[in-house]
Order: sequence, then C-alpha cells, then structure tokens
Amino acid sequence: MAKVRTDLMQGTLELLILKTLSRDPMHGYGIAQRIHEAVDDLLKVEDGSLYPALYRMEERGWIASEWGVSDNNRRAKFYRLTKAGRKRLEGERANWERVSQAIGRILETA
Amino acid sequence: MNFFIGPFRRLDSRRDRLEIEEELQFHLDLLAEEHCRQNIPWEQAQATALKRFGNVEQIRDECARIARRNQPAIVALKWLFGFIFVGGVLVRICSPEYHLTRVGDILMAVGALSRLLLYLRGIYPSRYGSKPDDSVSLKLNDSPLSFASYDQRGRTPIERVFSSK
Repeated sequence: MAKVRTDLMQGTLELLILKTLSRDPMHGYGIAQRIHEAVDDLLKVEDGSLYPALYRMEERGWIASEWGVSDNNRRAKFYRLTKAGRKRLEGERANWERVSQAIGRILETA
Repeated sequence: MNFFIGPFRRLDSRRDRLEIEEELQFHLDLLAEEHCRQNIPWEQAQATALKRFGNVEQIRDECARIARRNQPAIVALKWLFGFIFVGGVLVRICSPEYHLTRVGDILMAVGALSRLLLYLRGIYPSRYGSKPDDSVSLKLNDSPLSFASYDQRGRTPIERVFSSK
C-alpha cells in the first residue's frame, strides 16, 4: 500500500517539473522556486529531491541539460524540455485529469 | 566541437561527480542567499538552506549513480554483451559441429553473465524502470496550512502549478 503511494507521488513530482520546464529552460533552483511559489508551500517538496528526478528524466530523454551562465553570473546547469518530454507532459496531464476526475466523482457520490 | 568531445568527457565519472557537486552547491548558495535577504545571519541561513535541501550526500550519490549508468562506455558494454549472447545463440543454432556448439555455449554464458554482473552492480538500462528504492520525492507538508490543500478558488496545489503559467 505504501509503495503505491510513493510511486504516485514520484510521478507527480515529474509532472510538476515537466510543466515548469514547458515554458523556459531553467536551472534546478529556478524549478524549485517556481514550484514553491505555485503551491504556496502547501506541498512539501524537498529541494534536493528534484535532482534525482531531473537526472532520471534526462536519462529517459524527457529533458536535456546544458551548462550556462545564471543571472548572478555563475555557471549553472539549465534543463529544457525535449520533444519526448512535451509528449510525456501531454500524456501525464491527460492521465492526471482523468484520475482526479474519477476520484472527484467518487468523493461526490460516496 | 562539443559533439565530439562530449562523449569522451562523459567517460570521466569523476568529472560527472564534480559537476553534480557544483550544481548542488549552486542551489545551496542561492537558498542561503535567499534566507540572508530575510535578515537571517549567514551561518543560520546556510543551516536552514541545508535543512530545506535534504540529505546532500545521499542526493549527490543518487545523481552520480544515475549519471554513471548513462555513460557511453557502460551503454556500449551492455550492447557488446548483448551481441555476444546473440552471437552465441546463432552459433549454437546454426552450427552442426560439436566443438562449434561449445563455442556458442561459451559466448552465451559470457554474454549473459556479464550482463548479469552489470545488473547486479546497479548499472541497468533505464527502460527497465526505476528501482523501488529511488528517493521519495514529494511529501505532504505537515504544517496546519496543508490541512486545507485547496486555495480560495478551490484549486489544489498541483492545479495551481498549471494555472500559474
């Protein structure tokens, strides 16, 4: 039971990262900030846990990375969404909407 | 130029590790600076940044492990062992002579055992999926606020990420 919950949460983080990168390439800190701003700290996302997720997503070809220079003139690794990542985002988003709709219906009727 | 140099750079796992550390350090420094801007003393800001970041060493090792299994040399080895195994199977099937079928057996054994060794060392192709012990990435905040995870407009935190763009 606990494993199911963990897998769901991990997939959710990937979905958030994909969506965050869908507009602009960003470094890890930028991604974390964008997610924190959007969720008002209601969801606790440990900043560090983003990185294994980012590396896994890069491994799967959903995102690509490149070293560049940040706003404060420091070397930083920027991540961008690939074509496969965009496709994945669409699929994950549709899936999320289906699941949340289904759960919503159950909560309304039960 | 990067096209040619890139794969050879990736062979150097020490370089991978240094880049991971640089990336994590960049994040930690910006987090500490963010806390400093809220008039928190630097030492305390660093401690808070570390706390918010999580277990740095564990995260660094996890990233290094993922980066390592993507190294071209490891990927090439996996393919090579795969070919050796398939070659062994073909020799075994096609060869009518006894001593050649023995060669096929040896090739199959070498290919299969080498792949198994790579697998046991935790270096396995990503298409087989993540290991179940991959870090838990997201937790519900246990502060009182998280009890009401919907905002005034009835959006969940995840829906807010989508609507913020």
